[in-house]
Amino acid sequence: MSYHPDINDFELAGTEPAGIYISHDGGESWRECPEVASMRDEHGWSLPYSPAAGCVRGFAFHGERGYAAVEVGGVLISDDRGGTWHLAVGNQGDLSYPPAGAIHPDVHSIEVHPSSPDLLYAPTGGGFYRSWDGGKTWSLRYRGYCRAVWVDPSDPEHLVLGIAEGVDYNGRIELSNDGGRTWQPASQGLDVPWRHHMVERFARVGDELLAVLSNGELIVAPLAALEWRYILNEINGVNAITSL
Amino acid sequence: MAMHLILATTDGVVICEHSDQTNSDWRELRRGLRGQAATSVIAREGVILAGTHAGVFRSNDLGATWQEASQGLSTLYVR
Repeated sequence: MSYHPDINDFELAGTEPAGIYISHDGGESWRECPEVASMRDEHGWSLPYSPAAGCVRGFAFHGERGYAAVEVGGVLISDDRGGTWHLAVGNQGDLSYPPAGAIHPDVHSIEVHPSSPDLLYAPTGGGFYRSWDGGKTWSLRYRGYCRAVWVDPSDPEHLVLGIAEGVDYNGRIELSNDGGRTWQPASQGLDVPWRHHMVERFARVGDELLAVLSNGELIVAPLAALEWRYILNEINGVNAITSL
Repeated sequence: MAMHLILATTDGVVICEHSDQTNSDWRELRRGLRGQAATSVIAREGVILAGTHAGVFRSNDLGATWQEASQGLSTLYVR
């Protein structure tokens, strides 16, 4: 789920099977974007554990432009503030392995940098990708399995990535200060690699970065120095987080 | 500084608040939607929306009460 950051009373819900619903009344009622279901059926989007589904699991917005992450299907774009959606040029829309310049179709999340509506970051099942042209072409910036990235809003080269060697296998956190050309470990305070989990989502709260792990645990670190610690240990099964 | 963390969990939504004046840690304030697998959560201007395996739920009172908000959703499994 997501709000449009610039529009009051505009909420979005991604679903499984893959669909996008929008609301203009604070979630009181929803309208389906039917073109998403049409793309799902046309391209055979799917999930490893649910072969006839696929899901929409993330949104990002920059002014008029919106992006949605489809697992497994690719990246969707909206040019009308989320009202209608189409496939980004730089993905096949199907489940085949991507040629050079295209994105892996197993897209877990999507981020757009505040400095440009064309600067995108996408953790996928086939690595971490970056695009400078609004999703027309993609560059693989980390080979591995990842679900979440945090992008510094004041520095598009400063990235924190949750990476693993496979699905929930040998998870850890790494950091780049050059847009993903080079990476360094950023798991201080943690006993990594985690054998059976990984970072599922990041969320910035004030001067701290929180990470939801795929085993339902929650960790936090100051952004100025990523020294992680576990918090709220008595709460199990965390899937997502926000602040208010 | 955020005053509350809102967690979507496999057993509902948990509202957390700062546990001390240093704002360095958090503690559970309340839990709602018990029995619902919450997969996502967003919050703005005092309204919380939680996506679950059974649709969307809305709270206007920091999670004290919840109302179903799924009108128009033909697919209820929200991510």
